[in-house]
Amino acid sequence: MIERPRVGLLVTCLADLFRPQVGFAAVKLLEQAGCDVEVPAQSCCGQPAYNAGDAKDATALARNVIATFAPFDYVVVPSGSCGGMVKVHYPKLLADDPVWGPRADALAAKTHELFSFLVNVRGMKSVQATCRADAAYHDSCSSLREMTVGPEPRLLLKSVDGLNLHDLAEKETCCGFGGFFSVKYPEVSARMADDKIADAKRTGADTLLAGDLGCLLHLAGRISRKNVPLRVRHAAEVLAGMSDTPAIGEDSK
Amino acid sequence: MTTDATSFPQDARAALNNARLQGALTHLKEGFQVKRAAAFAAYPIPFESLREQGRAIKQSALAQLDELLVQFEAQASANGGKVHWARDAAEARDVVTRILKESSAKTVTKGKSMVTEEIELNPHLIANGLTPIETDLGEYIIQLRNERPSHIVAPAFHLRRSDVEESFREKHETLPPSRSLDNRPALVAEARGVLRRYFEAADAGITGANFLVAETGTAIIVTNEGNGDLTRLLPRTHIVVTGIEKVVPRLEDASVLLRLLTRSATGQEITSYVSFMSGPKRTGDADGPENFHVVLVDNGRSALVASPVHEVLQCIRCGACMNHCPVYGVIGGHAYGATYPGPLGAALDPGLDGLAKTYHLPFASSFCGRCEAVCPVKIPLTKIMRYWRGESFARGIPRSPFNTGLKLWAWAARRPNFYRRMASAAARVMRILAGKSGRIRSLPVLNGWFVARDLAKPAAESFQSQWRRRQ
Amino acid sequence: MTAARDTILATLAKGRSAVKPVPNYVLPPWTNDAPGHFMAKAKASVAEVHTLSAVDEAPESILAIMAANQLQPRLHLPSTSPLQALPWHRAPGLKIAPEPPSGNDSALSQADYGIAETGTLVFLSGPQSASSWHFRPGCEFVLLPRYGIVPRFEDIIMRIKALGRMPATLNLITGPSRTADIEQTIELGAHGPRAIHILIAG
Repeated sequence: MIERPRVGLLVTCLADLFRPQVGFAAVKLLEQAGCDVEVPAQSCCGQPAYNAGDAKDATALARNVIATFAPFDYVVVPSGSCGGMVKVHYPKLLADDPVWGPRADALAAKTHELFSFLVNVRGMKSVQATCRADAAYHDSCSSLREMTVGPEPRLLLKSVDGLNLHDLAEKETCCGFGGFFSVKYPEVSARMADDKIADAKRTGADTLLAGDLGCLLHLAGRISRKNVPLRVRHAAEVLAGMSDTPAIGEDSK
Repeated sequence: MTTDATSFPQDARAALNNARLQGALTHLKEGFQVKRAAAFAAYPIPFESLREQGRAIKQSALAQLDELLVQFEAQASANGGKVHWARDAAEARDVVTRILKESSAKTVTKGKSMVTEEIELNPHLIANGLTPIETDLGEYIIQLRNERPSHIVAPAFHLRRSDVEESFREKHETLPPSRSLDNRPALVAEARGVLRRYFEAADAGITGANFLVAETGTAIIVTNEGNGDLTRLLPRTHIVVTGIEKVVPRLEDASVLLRLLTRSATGQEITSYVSFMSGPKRTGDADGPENFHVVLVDNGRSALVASPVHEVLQCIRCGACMNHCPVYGVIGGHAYGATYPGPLGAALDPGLDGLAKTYHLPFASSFCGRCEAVCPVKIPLTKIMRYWRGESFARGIPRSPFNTGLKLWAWAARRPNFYRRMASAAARVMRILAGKSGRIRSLPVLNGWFVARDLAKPAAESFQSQWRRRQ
Repeated sequence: MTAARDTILATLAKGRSAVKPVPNYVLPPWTNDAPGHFMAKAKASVAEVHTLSAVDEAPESILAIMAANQLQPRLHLPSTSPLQALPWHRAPGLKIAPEPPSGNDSALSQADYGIAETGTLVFLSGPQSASSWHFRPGCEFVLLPRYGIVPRFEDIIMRIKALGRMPATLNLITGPSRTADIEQTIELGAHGPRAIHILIAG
């Protein structure tokens, strides 16, 4: 294990614009895990273009990200979705490029989702944080299937003082975000959200946690529109002891 | 059936509001998903190594498809059968009709065959004075109702028992109206009796094929009802209509794929009936058809073999993808407006029917990846859907202001400093629109989001801006 | 040949790629007790399983099963079947009928093999074996010699290839006919037999 690794934080567009506290929570947790964190100037990992079928733009954005994050020992992402884009899809996008292909592979090898990095690479087993809440944990599809993250956030969340953690009955079923899918087919997307929200309510939870802001903004948006009594947060906020701030959609400042 | 998925958004909305359909869809989780999981859990060999074997067998077959089809034809002919080739749906329909006319057939029984749905065979037969009778119970029911199959394994999946009773009462006019039909066994018994008369009267029988075996010239069908066998064995003439991609080299290959198919489709180790048909009856056989024909249907498949989406031809038509798809799970099969629904359809229909008719389908996915996690032959379904999205984007099918917006966004994103300034400006506008609340109810752009959701207000200052200030 | 054939094959030839060898087939483990395994699986498939010490016990056994199941003591058996030579006189009251059975009748056949892996009966079509009779009756009685039970379908493939030629029809039959097409709930006797009685002899 590297003594004090240099970690580049890929903060993600959604955290950057909508929920900076997720970025600060990630920094705090990484520093607690003995890392030196830097945040190079960044825009987007390119996933929206990639999934819209615009491989050309996605490739250009990928090269930007690869160049930006090359100097670090690790790249950590508080998102299974953006993390999966870098780790799983950059190598595919650039497979035929003799220069950027190997660079994409090198970056993929050192890119990690946040909770997975803390537990599996830095050996973190618990946090010092308090959050009195009944929380249901939602696994994003990319965390489940691309980044294979699941036990790690649960391990850390279980150490949070006062937090009662629940699994969802349908943890393998998508919440309905899917990027632009949520905009193009809103009724189908909303119905998938309703099913996920009902699943969370059935556990008795008053809080919904996940590791991806795409899912969280979509679910929080539906919860708000339907006036469901559920508070929505990124799990990193709880782990970093920042759960006393307004939940997603409730910050009127 | 004629594919036209251009009204998918409206059809999906209607499906969400269809209470009867929504009731039927609950069976996906309790039935198909649970049974499949139990079947693979009970099997001593891990699913991952089984399906890697399935993938290898199918890919190997596709790599030498022309040779295998020639070998199949030679063997089937040596067995006394006749093999026909059809480039497209029209040619396939004509070949089948000609065979039936030449054998003076009038009534034709049919086993379940998705490719005959694809080529729209039944209406053509009827227009030519023939009477095709579907014998798979689900297909028979939807034939009575003039509906399309909503699922490739369970065609009447969208219906309730009461719908079946209603159709039987309406169409089985010679039976006493006072009879009781308020339970499933009574309905099944009635179908059994009615269809038995058709089986016995049929001049010809048409089935599909789950697999073709090149080394022996064999067509394999897999059923639980036995209707495929009565269709094959009772009439003088048996016609197999099949896609060209169904052929594998050896019986041993088919055996591996059969184990994957039955578990993936219905959670069974094996179906009640697996039948290997290698030609007409031999001289002296106690029974069997006198004539055996195989119609090899291309209809766009040969072009796909050399395409970037060739892996979709590995499909063994188990239905697991749609059983596990969260989108299919809330809208059912009809909303897809195409022969093949669900993730299979999103990957295959654009290749068979063209993007102009099917462009919604590859986009109507959240890319959750569950389909490819359960596919027994490891088809990279999301990769294929993304390919079709790429084709849609590049060829402007359809022309979409969305894509223009995306190109502008990507241009900006490639210039991080500019991007951050634009994003901050947009955030400021959104915060004004949010007013005093923590959320935005609507925006002049991306209204699809706001149809069903609010959006949390952006932060007053972005993370990167705050970070830079603190350094 | 035809233009369609030429066109299709030409297009496919363009798509031909290097054929990767398929690794060794992944097969379920060998079972040491094939007959025992067969019986358990057959019962699980809702077939009734009976054992006889000898084939000659079949007529009496069948008559008893028919009585127990309230079946008419009339058994359809093809005139060419070698089972015509069984001691039917030992089952007085049991009529043997040579014509094909209808949907409520009972019929008798002999299975060529049984597959232990899945409790499956194997029938090869031939002069003495009427394939359609496995699907016509309401109840099928099947005589299966114990020595004919093999572990897996692959063992059947081996034996059939040794014959040199596929039969016109090879049927694998596991349990009675069934359907789940109405509300995803299983009902027996969709088109084929509602019940199947397997008599394992020897």
